[in-house]
Amino acid sequence: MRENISRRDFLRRSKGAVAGVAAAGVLGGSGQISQGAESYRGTPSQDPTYHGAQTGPPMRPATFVIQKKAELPEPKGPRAVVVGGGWGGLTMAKHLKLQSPEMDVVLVETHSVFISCPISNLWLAGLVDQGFITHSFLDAAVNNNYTFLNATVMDADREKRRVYTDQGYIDYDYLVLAPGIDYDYDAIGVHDLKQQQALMAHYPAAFKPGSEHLTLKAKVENFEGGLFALTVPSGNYRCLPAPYERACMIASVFKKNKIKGKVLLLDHNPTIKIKREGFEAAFHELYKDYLEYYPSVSIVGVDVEKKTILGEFDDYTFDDAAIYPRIRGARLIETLGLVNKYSPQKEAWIDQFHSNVVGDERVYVIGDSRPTGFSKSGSTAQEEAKFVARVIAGRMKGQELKWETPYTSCFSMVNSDPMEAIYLGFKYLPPQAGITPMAMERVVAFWTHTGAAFAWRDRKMERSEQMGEAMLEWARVHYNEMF
Amino acid sequence: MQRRRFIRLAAGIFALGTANFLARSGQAATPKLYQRVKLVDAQGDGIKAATLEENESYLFFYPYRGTPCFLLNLGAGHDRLRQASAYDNACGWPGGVGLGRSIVAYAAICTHQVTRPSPRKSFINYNPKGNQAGEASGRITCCLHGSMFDPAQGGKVVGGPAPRPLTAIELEHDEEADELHALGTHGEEVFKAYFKAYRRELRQEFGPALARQESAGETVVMRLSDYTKRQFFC
Repeated sequence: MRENISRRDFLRRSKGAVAGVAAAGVLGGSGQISQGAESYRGTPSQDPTYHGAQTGPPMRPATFVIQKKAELPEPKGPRAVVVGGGWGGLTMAKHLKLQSPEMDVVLVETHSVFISCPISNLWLAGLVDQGFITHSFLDAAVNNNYTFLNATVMDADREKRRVYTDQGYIDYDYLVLAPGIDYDYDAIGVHDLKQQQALMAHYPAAFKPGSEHLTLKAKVENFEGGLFALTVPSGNYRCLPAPYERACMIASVFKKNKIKGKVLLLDHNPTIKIKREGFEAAFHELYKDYLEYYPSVSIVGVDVEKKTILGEFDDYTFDDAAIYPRIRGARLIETLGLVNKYSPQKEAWIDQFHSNVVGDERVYVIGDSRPTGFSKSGSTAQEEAKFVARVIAGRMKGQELKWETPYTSCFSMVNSDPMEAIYLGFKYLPPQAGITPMAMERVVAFWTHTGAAFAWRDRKMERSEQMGEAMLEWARVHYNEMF
Repeated sequence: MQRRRFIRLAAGIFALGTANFLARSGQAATPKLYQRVKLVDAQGDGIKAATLEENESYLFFYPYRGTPCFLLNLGAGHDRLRQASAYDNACGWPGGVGLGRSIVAYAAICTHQVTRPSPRKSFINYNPKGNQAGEASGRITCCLHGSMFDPAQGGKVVGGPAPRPLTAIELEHDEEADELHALGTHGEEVFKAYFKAYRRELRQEFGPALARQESAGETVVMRLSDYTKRQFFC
């Protein structure tokens, strides 16, 4: 009888999956930052209707219309409405006000409490408490002199310069959209709405903070043994190192509590997508008995009832899971008719140098709904927001700014006892003629421009307690930027 | 009246008297005065300036109960001439005190992102020896983003992203008793940003509403290495 060796069994037999990773890693070369490459392939720069016309997405009337004005005091200067109170939106609201003090800034956010996605993996492992990642939008607004409106944006009429929320409409001079991401369950073969809902509720991705994170935290704390599945999606997903960091943090909880369980990390990519050496070392040295890593797993479906992830070649049953599907630009971008038709992840059609919707210098899109090949991370969104705030302030005065790269500073905690982190900081090449900006392959030195030559300025793939503590300081500095 | 204070007052009045006084009154801004607080050891006895070890980092809290300051004996080589150059910097720092004029104090709060020593860690430190690359010797370095300050020059920024000098602490040295008092600050303060940034931590570390109270009477001087678990150098 022919022995049926599945790919998974094969990996198991070859001294465990982690060993498999190492091999894949060597073959994968040394490219550290390969994000986005897939997402931005195939944008045809020759398409005359796209680049030639420069008209951008057509303006169209809103389909959701509310007659009532939102209950806000009359603006004393030009009004900017920022939609979305994440890392990008909060930074944008603050810096618009700093750059143009005469501006009346309103931040519209659908949640009433801010919970940070960055650092939430540390919270999962109990390294920081809930208060560390939870903040008040009211504090942000009071400390930075703008108005917070707890409302949900439903639609907009760019011709009238009017944005419609469930709390009434707001007329704007400038509209900045920072709506983040939505999940694309179809991309992992879950098409049925009932299945999608079940998957979202039972095994949430926990990359849109709030209840998803609370559910995941309880899952980790209550896990009694078996396999805990995590997935790494395809494309340019939110926070490239986060799934690997999360795997480390959850494995560290199992290790600490002596749970007879393992994290099952199923990666769409052929190798660890970012900070490979650092994560590989952690997987090998810290979590050998608590983590199994499978690269090149294309998910084609999930059977929620049977707790099974269906891969292209193999099925993976789990005891509990947090399933991170592919992501896409927030649905709001689509609702407003602003999707870039060449973006495989339904991101916005913007001028990649100045972030305005093509053909409309009154409307901007920043953060994870952008089509640019930036890392979809909080740190990047902050840096980008500061620049775009200057772009808007400049344009109000008739000045045009030259494109500037954001600097992405990116820590990942890989050990919880002691707290040890790795670090990567990088900048980006300029967007190429409105098409495919690629992340710089080479990491640039930390603070190079300051001339200070310090040892840890670029990439730190050897985990250390110094980086662990620096990560907490990073969080403090970045929260302080927003609140 | 203490001698130094007298000199400063006199400087204002008799500014035309000598070139030295002229330099002083021209550049040295008056400190922002807080309460006069005696620097004491853990037993409550006055710290003797002569006992401060050269290049050791000491810590005390001033002008608020929750704002940390470095107290440093920079040792020999920091003579009057070198300190005189400090008059050129904008904050009007009057130089070190003590017999060798080598004792200085600065708020241990980075002016870039208000990094501070906490009981858990300190990324901002005095680095007498410097790093492996032979840099940063004799500097106060903030290893979060690489800012460097020169404690022999009024906390002047000598590297990194910090926008302003460290806030200098005005010290008074009683030559007879060889004891030290803190009087106030020189230069721009970052205490407001500091209290905002660490509201939560300070409440946990000092208790509710205590960290923002002005220091009064005496303040305890300790070794930084006794206060903080880990110091990070770069």
